[in-house]
Amino acid sequence: MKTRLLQGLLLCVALISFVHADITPRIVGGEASGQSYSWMVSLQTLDGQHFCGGSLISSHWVVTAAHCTSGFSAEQIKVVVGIQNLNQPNEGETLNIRTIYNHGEYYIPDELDNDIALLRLDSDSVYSPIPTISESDFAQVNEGELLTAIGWGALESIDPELNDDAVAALFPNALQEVELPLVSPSVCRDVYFGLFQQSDQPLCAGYEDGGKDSCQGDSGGPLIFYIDETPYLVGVVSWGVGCGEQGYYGVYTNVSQYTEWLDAHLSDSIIDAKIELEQDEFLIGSGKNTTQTLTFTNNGDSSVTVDGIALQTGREYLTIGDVSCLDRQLAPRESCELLAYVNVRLEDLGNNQPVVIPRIAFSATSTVTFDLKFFVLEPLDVPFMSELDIDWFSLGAQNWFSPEGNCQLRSGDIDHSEYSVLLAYFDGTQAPIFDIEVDSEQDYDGLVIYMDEVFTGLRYSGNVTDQVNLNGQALENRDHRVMFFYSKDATQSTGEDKAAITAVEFEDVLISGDCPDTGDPRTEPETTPDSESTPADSDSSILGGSGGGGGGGAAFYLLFPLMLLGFRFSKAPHK
Amino acid sequence: MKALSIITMMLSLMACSTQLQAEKPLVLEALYSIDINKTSIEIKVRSFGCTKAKHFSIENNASGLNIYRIQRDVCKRMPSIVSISLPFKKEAGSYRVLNPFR
Repeated sequence: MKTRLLQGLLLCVALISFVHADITPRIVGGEASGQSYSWMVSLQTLDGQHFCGGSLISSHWVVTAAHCTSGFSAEQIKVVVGIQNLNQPNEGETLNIRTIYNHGEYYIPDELDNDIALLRLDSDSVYSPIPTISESDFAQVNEGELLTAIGWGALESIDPELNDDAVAALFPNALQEVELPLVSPSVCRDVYFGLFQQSDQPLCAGYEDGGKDSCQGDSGGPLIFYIDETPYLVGVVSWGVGCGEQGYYGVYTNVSQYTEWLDAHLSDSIIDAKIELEQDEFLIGSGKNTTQTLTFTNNGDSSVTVDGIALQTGREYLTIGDVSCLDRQLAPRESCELLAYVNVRLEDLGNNQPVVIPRIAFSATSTVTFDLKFFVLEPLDVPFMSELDIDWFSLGAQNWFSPEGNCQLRSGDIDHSEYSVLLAYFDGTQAPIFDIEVDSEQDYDGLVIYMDEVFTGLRYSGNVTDQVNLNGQALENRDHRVMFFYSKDATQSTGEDKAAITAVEFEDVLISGDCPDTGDPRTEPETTPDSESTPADSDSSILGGSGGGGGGGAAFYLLFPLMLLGFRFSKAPHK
Repeated sequence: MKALSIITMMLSLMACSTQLQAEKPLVLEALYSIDINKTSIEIKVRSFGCTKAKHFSIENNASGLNIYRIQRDVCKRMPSIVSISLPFKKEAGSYRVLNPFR
């Protein structure tokens, strides 16, 4: 009992704090493989760098670890089958990958779970595959029986202090193998206390005293067991604390538990599908119940049936409501929508402010995962708008604000390549009507308006006023948000360099710039004269706006995505 | 016996939880690069395949900016350099990064 407590503590210490992980590099204990394994696979980058192992389990399927392939697309990597020495580029057979199938529940419930992936090769391999072990055969393998791990992984644990050259020296070119005894699931659960559920049946192998183990570079590779001199694939190298470290074992994905999943793919009943999420970055208000439509499109060439949707992470922030995508067939280019309900409070995010990233697994015979990125905006107090049932939020280099003694909302005093965003939340079927003013560098700086994250077609640049009425089509009776996105390009400023909301009408209440100063608006920030500024001119453009469009907006159209890139987002959040 | 086992497990969990909360990360991650933006810090670090943003903690105090790895990457992929984006609110002024660089 004391041992369990001690092991639990030791694991916590080992995983959480490096300081307590006094790792002495050890020889992992393998030896150069004396025989060739025709089904042994090296996963490589296109420039020939080995990064993981794999096993050929049929003429055109390779099994590996999901953490090896996660983040890669099929065209970014290749496999080399039947190779023994990585330094001999003519050895083995190099094949391209058609599709990567990471297990749909990789990362569920924890990040190390279901660490298995299949690679559909572009063509058949000439090499003989290795059979995978059945559940019944694996049940006959006893604790202590020897399994063999094979790979090109490091010969020692990698000390975090080592520089890249020293690390590179740890890796052999010749294929290595090591015999390791099977460790009972209960012992492994105890060692990795807290990382496994009581019901888990982890596949672990190694010696209590350490010294022999798989290591970095072996991931995805095989753990095999011989039955009547025939090798069977029983495990996929996955993880472990250190390599050959005393008290810890190597953990392998238990292939026998994935027989059904493997069979479904190997039967070739899987139809290649390419399901894509049209938009994955959103801006929401802190603490607001937000309904977000997620649109998935089948961009593959075959119809596909969606048979599962699961939220892998972020359950505390997001729930999936409408599952109309489920159990329906999507023809090529056809889309389906999913309603997600989000509520994130900035104060709950701690160091993660202002971003929360839930992950949705979208299973459609193959499974793809989507990381949603929600940027959480802080609430904006707008006292003179208190009669309106609208909640305001802002984000950016400078928040929107209320100039002193003036009942209007103004974009923040931002610099080049910056943005200032305002969100207006309301409920119901009628949107507020906004009077807006923009005074900016014509065609390069300006205001863009979105409704529920969908571009309204309204862009304003130059010196322009307009009334924004978004009630052209019926709204569902739920929460909605209008986003005002004021941004500047990399150079030049013109005029007052602002966007402003000068009046709002909602539910028969009108607040305009003529209202008395009833609140306590913020003091207008000091402005520094910009040497590049030029006097405001009378040119104006309502690009795609209700007031008609100027013809000179092309540059602004073109630059806007680039501006977004420069601002913060890795890709344009709005399409 | 079963009750004792459960109590022991709970004690272990509490100890682990306490460890998580109370144990200050003490070792700075060696960085390949760092880029401090308005709402995030982008770092490049060594990964064995499972390094995530949540494995890091940022401490910004008077002496400087520290980025700790609070959870080891126990996966067994070949080491690679990955970019990690850590949410961060940049304030005015400059930052002194105390992490070692590779």
